[in-house]
Amino acid sequence: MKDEPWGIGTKIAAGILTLVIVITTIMQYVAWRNGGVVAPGTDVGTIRLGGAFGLSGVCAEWGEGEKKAAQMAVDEINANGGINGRKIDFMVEDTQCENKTTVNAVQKLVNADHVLAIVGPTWGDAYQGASPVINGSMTPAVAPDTAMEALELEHQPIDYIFSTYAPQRKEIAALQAYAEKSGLKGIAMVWDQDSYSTMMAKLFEEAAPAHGIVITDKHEMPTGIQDFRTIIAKLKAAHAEAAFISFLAPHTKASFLKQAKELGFSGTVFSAADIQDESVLASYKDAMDGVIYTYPVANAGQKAFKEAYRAKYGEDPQGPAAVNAYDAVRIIAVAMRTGATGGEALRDALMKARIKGAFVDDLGFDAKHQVGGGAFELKTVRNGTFVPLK
Amino acid sequence: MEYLIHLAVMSSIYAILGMSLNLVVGYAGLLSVTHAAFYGIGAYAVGILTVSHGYGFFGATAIGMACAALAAWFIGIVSGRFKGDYYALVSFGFNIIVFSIFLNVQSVTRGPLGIPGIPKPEVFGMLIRSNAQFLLLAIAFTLATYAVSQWIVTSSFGRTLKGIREDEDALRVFGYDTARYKRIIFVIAAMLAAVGGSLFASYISYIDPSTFSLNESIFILSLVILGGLANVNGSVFGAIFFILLPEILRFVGFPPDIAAQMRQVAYGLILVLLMLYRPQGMFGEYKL
Repeated sequence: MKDEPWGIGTKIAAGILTLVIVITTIMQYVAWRNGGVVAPGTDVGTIRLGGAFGLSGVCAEWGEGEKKAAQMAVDEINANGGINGRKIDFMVEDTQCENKTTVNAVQKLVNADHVLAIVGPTWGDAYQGASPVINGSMTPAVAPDTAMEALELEHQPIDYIFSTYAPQRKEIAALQAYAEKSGLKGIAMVWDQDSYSTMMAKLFEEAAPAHGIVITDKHEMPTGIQDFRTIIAKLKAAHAEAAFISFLAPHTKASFLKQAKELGFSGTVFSAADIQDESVLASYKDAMDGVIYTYPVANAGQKAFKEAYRAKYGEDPQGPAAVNAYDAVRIIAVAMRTGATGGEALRDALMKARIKGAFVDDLGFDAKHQVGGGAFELKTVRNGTFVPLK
Repeated sequence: MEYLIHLAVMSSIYAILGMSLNLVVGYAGLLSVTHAAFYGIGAYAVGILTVSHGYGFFGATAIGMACAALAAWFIGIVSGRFKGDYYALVSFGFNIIVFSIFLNVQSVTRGPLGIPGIPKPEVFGMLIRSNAQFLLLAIAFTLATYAVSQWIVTSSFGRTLKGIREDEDALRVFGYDTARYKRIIFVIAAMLAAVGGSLFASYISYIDPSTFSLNESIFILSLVILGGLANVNGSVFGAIFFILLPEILRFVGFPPDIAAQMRQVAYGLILVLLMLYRPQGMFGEYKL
């Protein structure tokens, strides 16, 4: 079907020109609006802090809670006089839980908004395209849920990338030590084809021989799958003593546990810290009973954070890493209070900073830019509550 | 400025993808939703060969183009038996197959873990370090793709493709081997898409299968349709529009609590309105 064009040359020129004018005007406006913003170390203005969270897409379940928790920390800091008298201007961008759009979000924060540090990106281990932008611009980024092991395994530079999330090797070591102590010799693994889950499976398998554990069976599932009945039936038929599960989202783990209960699978199920998600527990109470995972030893900070979050938003913290986002803002603020004005100085200040965290009591970064302090304990779900494993 | 340069690089990459797909969808009338597969083949060729085998960017790109051509030739043989909606379904199937290969042949592609640390290209012994330098390279490839596309569509070969689109049976009556024409344009488009993939891998420096899913094929098809079918300029416009629009919406002052959702609603609404008032796209000469 033929259709008369408008006059192609004119239209393309006009279209591109209009877009360029629109984007330039907006950026000029933003620059003008930010005229009063100056870097820390001077007496006036605000401190710009970026937030790169997955607010839409597959990781939105994590990102929304992280954004709220980070905003709560920013509000608390501002209410208490800000950082050396300057308020934090918190600028949030949606990463859409994709590599390409995570790069776009970080590019905007770094190069258009000129933030001094970033909280995020959500799942930075999966969206590693943003890492070169962060390192290249020397803008420290403290991610609430990045497994630093993913970067370490790939020998990727971590210069300006930090994480307040639980160290994965530490978690796995604790689980396998428990399995060894309990006399469990064989563990099956079930994971999905998500980068985090695959990395966890790899780490679990690598560490198993040190604890005398044999991986009896391996099941890699497509991402997003919710029906595990066939796999569970196979595990049951093979009389599997235990299974380690690692999936993209906590509710998928809960689905697995629910189906395992329905099919009468009696083996022990191991998981990771992300399963401690209040909103998931609310939907899967009984099904999650008995799952074993590791989590930082309960402290006053965890309780205080949960109560403050409920008071502010009228709901439980959403997603497993909300508390880590809260701590990320607070440790950045502590580093900035030393007068570090971004870049290398802020990175070095972050390395030295220590706070009484909400996730772990003594929160600071080790040489791998992971949470160094704090002890982890084994936990389980009993009668619909997350409790330490006795 | 760096941010604008970044958007310009992304627009250039998608312009290459859009122009190449337009040759198949707009000029030959084949509704293909498998373009992300060829885009991915180019990206993975550069990722694997530069990171693990020490190849340079241009050598890896050439091999990526050859692999994409081979895959397209094979896909073309099978899909050439189908027309219209059935063709779309077959191409859909091939995208899923290639995506599954990226995801499951882990010894080669590293599966879900992806390939990080892909180096920047070296041109005449000079390593491209800055985004501005990369933009020049991307523009050079975009102009080359534009020239190839224009040359094809203004040639007798291009006119035959339009003829196939309008009435394939009539061309067959005149003795044209239409299946061969369709296969050739499909192979050319795949090779050009592989160039886009090579640039993407080298620019972003990290690739994983999720970037080359069926959604990406639909995204590329959308920018071709919005820009205008059977118009090379339209694909360039569509790419710029689709890359810039969501970024412009980041600057619109939606309430912070619902900003992300509002941006997506606004994005969708603009596309719906455009399709309502310009169903043939901005510069389209042909409607599906």
